[in-house]
Amino acid sequence: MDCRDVDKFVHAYLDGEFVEDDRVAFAAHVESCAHCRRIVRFEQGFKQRLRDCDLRERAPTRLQARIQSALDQEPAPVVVVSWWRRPAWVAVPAGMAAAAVLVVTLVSPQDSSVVAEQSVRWHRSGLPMDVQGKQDDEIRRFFRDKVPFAVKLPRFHDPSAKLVGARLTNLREHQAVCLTYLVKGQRVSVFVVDPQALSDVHDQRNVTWRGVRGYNVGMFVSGGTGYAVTSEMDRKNLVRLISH
Amino acid sequence: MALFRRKTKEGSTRVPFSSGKGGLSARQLRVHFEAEALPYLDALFAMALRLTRDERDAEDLVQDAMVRAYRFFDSYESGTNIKAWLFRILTNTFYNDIRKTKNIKRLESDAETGGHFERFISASSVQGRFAEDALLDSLTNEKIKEAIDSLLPEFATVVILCDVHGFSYKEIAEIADCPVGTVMSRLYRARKQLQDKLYLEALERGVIQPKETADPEGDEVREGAETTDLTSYRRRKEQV
Repeated sequence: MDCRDVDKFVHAYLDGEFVEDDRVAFAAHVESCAHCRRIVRFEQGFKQRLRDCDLRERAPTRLQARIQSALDQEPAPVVVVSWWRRPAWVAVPAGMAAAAVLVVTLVSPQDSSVVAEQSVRWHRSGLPMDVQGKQDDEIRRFFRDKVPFAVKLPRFHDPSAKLVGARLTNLREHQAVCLTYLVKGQRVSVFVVDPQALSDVHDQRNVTWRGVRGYNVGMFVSGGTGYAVTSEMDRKNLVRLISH
Repeated sequence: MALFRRKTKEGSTRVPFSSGKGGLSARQLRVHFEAEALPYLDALFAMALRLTRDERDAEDLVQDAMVRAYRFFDSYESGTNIKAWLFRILTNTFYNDIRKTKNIKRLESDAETGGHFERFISASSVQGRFAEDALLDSLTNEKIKEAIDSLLPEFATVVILCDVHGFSYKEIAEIADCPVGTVMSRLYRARKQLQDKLYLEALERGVIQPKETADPEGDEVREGAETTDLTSYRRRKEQV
């Protein structure tokens, strides 16, 4: 530990982030060096000054009532709900489509949560697209020799849903295609992936939902293809979008 | 597992609740959420106020964040740090929504630092006191708030989370969704910028005297101060 280290790590030291060994070494140097003692004393004083600065304003009393009435408008949080309502583009035997059966999927934490987490990361990253604003056919052709599965594009019944473009990406160790749509000004990413990436989402009748950092991810397998639909849109509107 | 089904208006059946919180009814869940989350209303509001710098916007932000938190209450694991979880939703909501509409300046690079203030304002003491002590004594709450509000939100966030709310670097990294190394370098720079602004301001008011001569020792220390990576320090230490 020398004077340079003190300058760099004085905050970590004062913020209590040092492990014991480092803390002892740091303190020993500071003890023996008037220059560093002054730095530590100043930074400590500054930190204390911020702490004492009364930055903890109280919320106005009306805020709690506002929040409670906003919560009254919200449906009870839905956890791993499985909707029998299938996505509109999912082909299902006709007889099965008639019955509305509620199924609860107990999702193992591994695959779908990793896929949800990663799809949100890709969705947020806003990376440039490999192919832009093309027709469905062109997108399919573009990816034909690039991914080891057929890229089946969803058909949204909402006429405002516009395909903006697509890019190659990956979910877990699988290649995936990220299709970007704009629906009423909101971005929706549809990830098309090998269903093995979603090994815990195998039931064709169900959409498995996960919330990741304020984003909704609906995952399902249809016709041998895995899908993860990711957006900031609330779950109700997303369900409406994909199930028509 | 007990299932609590209820009929929705459309006639379809939903399961309003789940595994993690052990078969609570919708009503119980709501009570549970309020009991867990509402105690942090003041803390969240204080944070929102620093982010939005406007009382009405801060209220809207806290409300949006609370509704979101309720909506995603399933992804919160009981018994873990709900305060950090709520702060994370709050800052995410701020960056996702508010920024989009209000076009608040985005952090382009972490490179912005002032460089006017060095901890050694003067090598010698002024009237028997160290000048940095005079600086600390001259600070008013108002001036400090102004200085914090003048920081970019990314910088203000880390300082407030650390110094006002006492979160650890790891928690801040989770809340701000960035690596711990980034938290450290932002904290370093944010504090430097704050000191810089407050120093210039105190100079202007004449509460402290300008530094007369360069302090070569101080400058030398500053040069190596660009990284704040603990791992590289430990690696270096091992080699000695």
